[in-house]
Amino acid sequence: MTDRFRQITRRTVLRGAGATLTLPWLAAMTPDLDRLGAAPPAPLRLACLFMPNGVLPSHWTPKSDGGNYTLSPSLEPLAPVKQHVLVLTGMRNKKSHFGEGHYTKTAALLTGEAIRKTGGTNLRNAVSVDQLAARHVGETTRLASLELGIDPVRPVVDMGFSTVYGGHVSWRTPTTPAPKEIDPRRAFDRLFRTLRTGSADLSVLDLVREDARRLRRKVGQADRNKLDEYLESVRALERRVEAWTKRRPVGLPPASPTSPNDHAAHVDLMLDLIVTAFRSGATRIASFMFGNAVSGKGFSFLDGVNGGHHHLSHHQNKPDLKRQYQLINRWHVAQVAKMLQRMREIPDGDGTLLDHSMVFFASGLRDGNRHDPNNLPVLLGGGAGGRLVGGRHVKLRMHTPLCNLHLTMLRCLDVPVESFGDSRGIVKEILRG
Amino acid sequence: MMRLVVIVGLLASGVAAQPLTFSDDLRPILAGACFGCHGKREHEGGIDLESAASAQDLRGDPETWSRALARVDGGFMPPASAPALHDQDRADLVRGLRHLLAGEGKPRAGTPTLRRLGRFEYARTIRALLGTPVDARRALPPDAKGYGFDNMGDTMFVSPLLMERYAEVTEQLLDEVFSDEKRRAALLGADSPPDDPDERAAVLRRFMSRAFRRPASDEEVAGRSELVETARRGGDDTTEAMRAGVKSVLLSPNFIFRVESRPDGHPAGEDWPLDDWALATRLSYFLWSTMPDARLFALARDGKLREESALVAEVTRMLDDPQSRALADRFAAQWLGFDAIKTKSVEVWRFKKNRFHQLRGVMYEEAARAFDDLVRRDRPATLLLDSDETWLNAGLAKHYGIAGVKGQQMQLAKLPDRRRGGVLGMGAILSTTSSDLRTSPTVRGKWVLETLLGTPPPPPPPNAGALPADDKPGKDGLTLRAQLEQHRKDKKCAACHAQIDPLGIALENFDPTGQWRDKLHGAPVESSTVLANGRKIAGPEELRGWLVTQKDRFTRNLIERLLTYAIGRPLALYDAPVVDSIHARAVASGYRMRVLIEGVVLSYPFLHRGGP
Repeated sequence: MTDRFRQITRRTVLRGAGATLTLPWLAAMTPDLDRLGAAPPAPLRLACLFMPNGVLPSHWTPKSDGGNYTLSPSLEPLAPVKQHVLVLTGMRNKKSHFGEGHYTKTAALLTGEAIRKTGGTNLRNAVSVDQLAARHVGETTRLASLELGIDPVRPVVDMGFSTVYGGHVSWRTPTTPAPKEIDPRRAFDRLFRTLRTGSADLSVLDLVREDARRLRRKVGQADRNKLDEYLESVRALERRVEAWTKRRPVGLPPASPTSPNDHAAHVDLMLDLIVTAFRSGATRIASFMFGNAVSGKGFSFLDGVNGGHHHLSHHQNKPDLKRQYQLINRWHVAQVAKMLQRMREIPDGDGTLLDHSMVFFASGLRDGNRHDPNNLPVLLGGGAGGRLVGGRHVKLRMHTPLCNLHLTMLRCLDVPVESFGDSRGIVKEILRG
Repeated sequence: MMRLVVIVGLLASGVAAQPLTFSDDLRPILAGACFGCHGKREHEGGIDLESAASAQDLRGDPETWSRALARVDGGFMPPASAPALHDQDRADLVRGLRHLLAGEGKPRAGTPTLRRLGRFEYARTIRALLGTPVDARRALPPDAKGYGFDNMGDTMFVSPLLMERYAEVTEQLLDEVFSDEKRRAALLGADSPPDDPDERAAVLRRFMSRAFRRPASDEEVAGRSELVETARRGGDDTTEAMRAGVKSVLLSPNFIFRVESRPDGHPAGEDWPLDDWALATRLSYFLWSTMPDARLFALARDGKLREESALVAEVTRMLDDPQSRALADRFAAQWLGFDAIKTKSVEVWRFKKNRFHQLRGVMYEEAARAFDDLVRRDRPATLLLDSDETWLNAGLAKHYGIAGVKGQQMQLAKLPDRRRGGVLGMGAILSTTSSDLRTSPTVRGKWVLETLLGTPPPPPPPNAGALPADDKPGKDGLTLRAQLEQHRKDKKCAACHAQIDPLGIALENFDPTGQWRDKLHGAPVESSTVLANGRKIAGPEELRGWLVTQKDRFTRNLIERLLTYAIGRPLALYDAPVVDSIHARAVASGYRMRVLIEGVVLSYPFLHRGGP
């Protein structure tokens, strides 16, 4: 059933992409995956998924809690994987509260930091939880982390905030977001195709690094930061070059770019890529944005929905708009459920890929109509190598810092940190014993 | 010593602008219009304007006062519920505040952050350097944008992802160049690489000096030479070794970044004049979005570019060159937002989806040509506000309901009536300011205020609500317009929406694809409205009539946008006098486009750079 569905999805993509794509490439690549060699035995993976525009609260939070709870209407799609998911209620991200609009709440979701209000100069956030994890566990994988998304960042300053904030949940440094790849084909190539390099590549990189160092002495502080970004990127490139020279290249279909026009298919491919990347050991850390903050993505492809995501999120308590908004929330949950199901089908170490992963899913807002930042909608899927006890709706003390959860995830990954953002401890309630 | 006299564009404008003082001129206006709510007793929104007793106090709190300036300039303050502010008083207040806030010192260069080549600049530069086309969209990830443009150093991030793409694109490019005899010969200066190491070094030096847009240093050349010779000794053939050398040039920060370094020994914290090489580069990327050509390099080498007459002559030559179309595609498309038309979706059959999809590229071209034509023929910038002609082909003319335009070629056509004219009649603008299923008078109004006039409305409160996605009358039977009017009755919404909405309502005759309509769901389209200042207008023609009266606000904004794009940093309060003096020249010339562009190039912040 699942496979059949996926085939149909791919055909849709092919149609959407016109004649440029001649192969269902993800399937074509699967046999090659095995030649990549098995990943080290079951390391822990982390995926952070962001949904824009909040949820309809009345249909989100389950009425009962504990292990025997009944899924709410928006969470119903989780039914097949219910025992692998924690529904978390009562958390807030305090430093995202200031300021109007979505941007503070999006950029801060994974950082727990108050962003600086600016149209582009002196961006300020903090290192996000996924990027911090990548620094610690990313050394051994081909890519330290993978950042994926759907929407490009639009060219505007909105309400005094650069849309850079609304377009990035992953931040490599407090001043630099990790740009996300939105083209599935390019993301795929980055993960699995050989980086084409000549024999002298490492010396080439030495030389350009020398250029940057010389330059660094001649420019001001702000420019030095830019050059440091450059140097850091050169180092990352170097690591990939080194990694590839040790690995046998994988023969894969040559790149032919595509960007599916079909939103559902696009999301499906991107989530599939994360699963594939985890499975093959290409990376252990990933983030994904279903849309940028304030996404107006049209959801008329859903039965009973006619209009854009952000418009519908401001439902003004009109029943018809609320109904449509809820269908969009539910669709997002269904995509997460599908991803978790795929992960459960993949053997990994002594269990499944899902057993050895954490899949964090949240929006920066609760009620999109009011931009309510309290009691955020948060799901945590996966078993974290037996550390998490899923299958429950856990009502935490109201206003538990979201950063407590981030800290908990970091601890599960054995990242040696004392605290994260405004954390006051870990979320013991979700851990085994 | 504190001086209270503000000299307003006195030298430049030649117009008899009275000097305004804070205590005698501005404070009385403020007292009458503002202190009632924003004074010592009442300070709504936490704003107290009464406590500032002097110009110095005002400069001590630039954040509050520049916000006040923006609100007054945009007409959002005082609100409709307060006594109206006389037009002349408003103008004086804006002029006076702007200059008090700018300070009275010399112009400053500011510190634009190091810019790298944006993906489109990269593609065009590679084409000029290697003769090889690159599809920028396919090759490199999109650049983040700040202050409306993707060429601001602050938001031009460098990431591992980008670096990998550079590395791979470079590899592909070198494949192409080295497998093509002509291109390889152009790069190496001969059919095959020279046998003599010194000659090889000379080839590298020539290439590096073009790629780095300045003479390469001996040290830099030596590094590449060593790489090439080491590779040869390691068994690579000479071509392969040279290829590695070239690759190290194309991945170098000196190529990827537009470096403007401080001259040796120049004191930190002081502005310095750009050297000829950096100036050639700034100029070339401003007007052409690519590297300098041979002539600019020659002028830089001879040290002549900094002479004003030479610079003016170069601007003229470069604007005459077809490459200046980059100003339309890179500057105007981002400023006016019509780059978004290419990917605009109009969801339903209602708008004849297929035809619209085909027309999007033509609509882009209409807007781009309109701007390009002003540059090319040095016509008044105000033609963007209103004009009696536009660029059409048969398909777009049909969409617009204009007869007599034949063929697929874009052509300048006289408009048969006053429905359209200027950017507000263009499909690309009308469509990108609409939602998928309906027009949005609020978004269109905001676009006029923000994009054309440079006075964005303040952000709405979070619980402001939104209008439905569709324009069919709702269950409550209210039309979109009626809902908007209801929204405006809410006092907290009224102050801004009274400014914003009428500007969009006057455009209601244009549907989300830019097609004219007289009826909407069977009812006549209502496009008569009252502007916040009480002026009654009906439809787009009268809206344009009002806009033309705002031409100074418009051109000032255009100058600010051009300057931002050219120097790569947001403007600051201290830039106001620079903008004023360019504006004064523009006014004197009848707003000629090239006078604006030339003014930007000759301005202090374009010719200088500062930094710690």
